[in-house]
Amino acid sequence: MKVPDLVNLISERASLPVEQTKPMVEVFFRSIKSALKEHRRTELRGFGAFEVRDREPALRMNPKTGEKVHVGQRRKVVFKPSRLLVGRLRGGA
Amino acid sequence: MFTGGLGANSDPAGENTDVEQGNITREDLARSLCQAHGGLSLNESHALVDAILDAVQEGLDADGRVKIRGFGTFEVVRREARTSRHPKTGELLQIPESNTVRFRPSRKFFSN
Repeated sequence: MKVPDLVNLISERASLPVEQTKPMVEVFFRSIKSALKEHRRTELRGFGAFEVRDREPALRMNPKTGEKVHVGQRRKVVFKPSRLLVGRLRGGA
Repeated sequence: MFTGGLGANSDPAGENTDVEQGNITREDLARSLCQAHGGLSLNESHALVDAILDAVQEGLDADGRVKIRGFGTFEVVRREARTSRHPKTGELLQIPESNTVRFRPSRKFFSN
């Protein structure tokens, strides 16, 4: 399922016209994203929590040249589903 | 108009203690939606937050996958049944198979 179908569902649920729902859905996910960019955890009770973890850059050898290289210091987004979400899911725990 | 930013002033009254810890909650998201839309009450914005999250769950049930461009993909993944030990008592436990949700951020997650 992609955003357009999602928007239709939400529009129906929230009794909001599709043209108004679409930008709201965009704001919603963009807000979570900008919070995560600031390393702020997003905790949505009953759904799950998003957080950003930093992975330290690893020192690796380039096997061809023997050079030492730092491999990607990376930001990683971690989502932990709420037990409620998993419980409501078909076949969930 | 639809900036969707959650600045430090998203909770001017300081009522939401989570904001001080930097956590974002349903409340903060409802306020962003309320502000971005302009014509929705805070209650209606809360209902909208609920509707969005419910729709993601329904999408997962219907398709097993919900893809939000520029954000990421939620996916139902199956966890096989396994045997494990109770960490304290050491007794064997049968853990039945179950489904859970995995999120994979979009490749562009941090770049736009």
